[in-house]
Amino acid sequence: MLNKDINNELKKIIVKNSRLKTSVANISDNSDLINDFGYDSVSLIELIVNIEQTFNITFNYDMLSIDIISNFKNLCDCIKTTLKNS
Amino acid sequence: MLIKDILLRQKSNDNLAVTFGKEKLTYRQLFEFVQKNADKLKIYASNSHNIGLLLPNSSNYIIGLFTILFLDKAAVPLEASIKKSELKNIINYCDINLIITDTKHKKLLTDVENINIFDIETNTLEINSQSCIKCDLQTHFDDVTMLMHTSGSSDKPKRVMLTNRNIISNIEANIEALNIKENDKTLISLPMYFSYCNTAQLLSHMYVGAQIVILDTIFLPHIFFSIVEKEKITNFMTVPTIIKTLLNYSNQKTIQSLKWISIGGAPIDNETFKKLIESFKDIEFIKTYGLTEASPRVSTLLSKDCRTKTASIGKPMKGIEVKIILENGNEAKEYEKGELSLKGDNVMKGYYKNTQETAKTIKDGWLHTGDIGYYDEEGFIYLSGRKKNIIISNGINIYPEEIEDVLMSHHAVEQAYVYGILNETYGEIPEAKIVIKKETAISDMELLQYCREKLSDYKIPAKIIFVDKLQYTNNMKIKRTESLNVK
Repeated sequence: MLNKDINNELKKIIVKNSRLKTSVANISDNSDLINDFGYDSVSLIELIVNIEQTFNITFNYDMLSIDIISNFKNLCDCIKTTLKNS
Repeated sequence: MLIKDILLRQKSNDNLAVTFGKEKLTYRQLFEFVQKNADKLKIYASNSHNIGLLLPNSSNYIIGLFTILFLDKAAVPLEASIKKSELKNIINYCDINLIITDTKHKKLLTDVENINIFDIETNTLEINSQSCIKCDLQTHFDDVTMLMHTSGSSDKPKRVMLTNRNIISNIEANIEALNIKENDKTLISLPMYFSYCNTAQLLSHMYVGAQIVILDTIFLPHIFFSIVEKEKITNFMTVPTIIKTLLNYSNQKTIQSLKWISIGGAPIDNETFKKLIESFKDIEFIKTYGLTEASPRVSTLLSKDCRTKTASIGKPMKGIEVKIILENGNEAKEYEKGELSLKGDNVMKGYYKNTQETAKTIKDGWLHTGDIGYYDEEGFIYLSGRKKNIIISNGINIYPEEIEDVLMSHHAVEQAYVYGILNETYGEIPEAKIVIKKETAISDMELLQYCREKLSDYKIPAKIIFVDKLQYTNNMKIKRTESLNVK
């Protein structure tokens, strides 16, 4: 999967799991899922489960700190690393 | 016995009390920290009617809570994700002159005048109020010891006054129902300001001298299983939203230490509950029902009854009398639906500074829950609906009027109506219908952004729908007819 495709797919998943209304166009590298899109602990769990199912990966949970999960670019990099290692 | 005695009587106990990340404290150490803080704050606490507690889940939260209790004051636990304007309202309404917080959350208090701030992290006290008023001490069994969050609009918040009697009776009944022992080790991931976590989990385990592990990171299924295994957790309490996520991970290896999981805070659907029982055969599931006004726990459906009475919320705990009251005021018979009402030492003293709402809720000593239900021939209680106008999202009560107040405060909004819609993840979430003023224009995103500045995230409507008009009743109140539609 191309990096661009991963970015786009992740944006779609973020929009789908956000409790608050948002759109793909609102998401940038610096987006903070908690502060910008109202993600909370519950929606973050749903997001992680959805990412694992969509990309067919299992995260190394030691990698998943709140700082990683809540920042778009960090989360994207985390998916890329996991895909690379799988 | 007072709540502070839970810690006082364990001041020489060298057993581990709390684990929070790498931090581990014994009961003796907890006592010493609390005593030290209480000595430091004694002079400044005397001029505060009640003391605020603005801390996220942490061992500091426990130390802060007991510091307030050692000062013989009522604690007002505040949610750590609160917005500035919400915080200001509560501080004023609850007559808080002293607040215990940490360095991060202290920033929320920059606009609040005349408040003394104790930073529990740096152990520093900031004096901003020179008031000399001497406020009463709460030293008796029937004195108010906690003002718990429930719901309410910004100008009329509903803070539940709980006395030592209320909370101690509920703790003791809860310990007996769940058979909590000194050798238990519970994992806390629910917000500790939440009445359910405060009484049924935190204080119930401290009462018997058991161990508490506070989750220091986000709850994720793998993290949960790994902590349970590492810490040898024996029980866990959670809400339906969280427990559902574990279903995707039911192939996890058996964790020997975990005896039971209690689920409460919001109704769990029967299908999910059955799936949990089938998926995790080595774990006992206990369904609970309660409300903050009842300190909070009312009934438990123990695992032995879960397969035969899956839809029930169980039977009342010891010392709690439950009856179903029909519309005509008569007591219901088996299977007759009516309002679930209860009596017992756990019933709150009332709503703080709100005698009108108290009188509506407690009649002749009976607490009217606003929940509709019935009981079967064996005395098991079932819920079938709700009379009160609240939205229960992820176990937290949301009062639609509070959101409507915020929406109405926007210059472009003419009318606002907030209601709950069913949501697979959260149970329920708020949605709003808006009528905008003539010759004004505003987008839903702009309005949502406005809400985000003034409301905690969980209260922000998931969707805003613009309509031409709202429906009103004959006495000009919004017709609250929106049914809960699955989303």
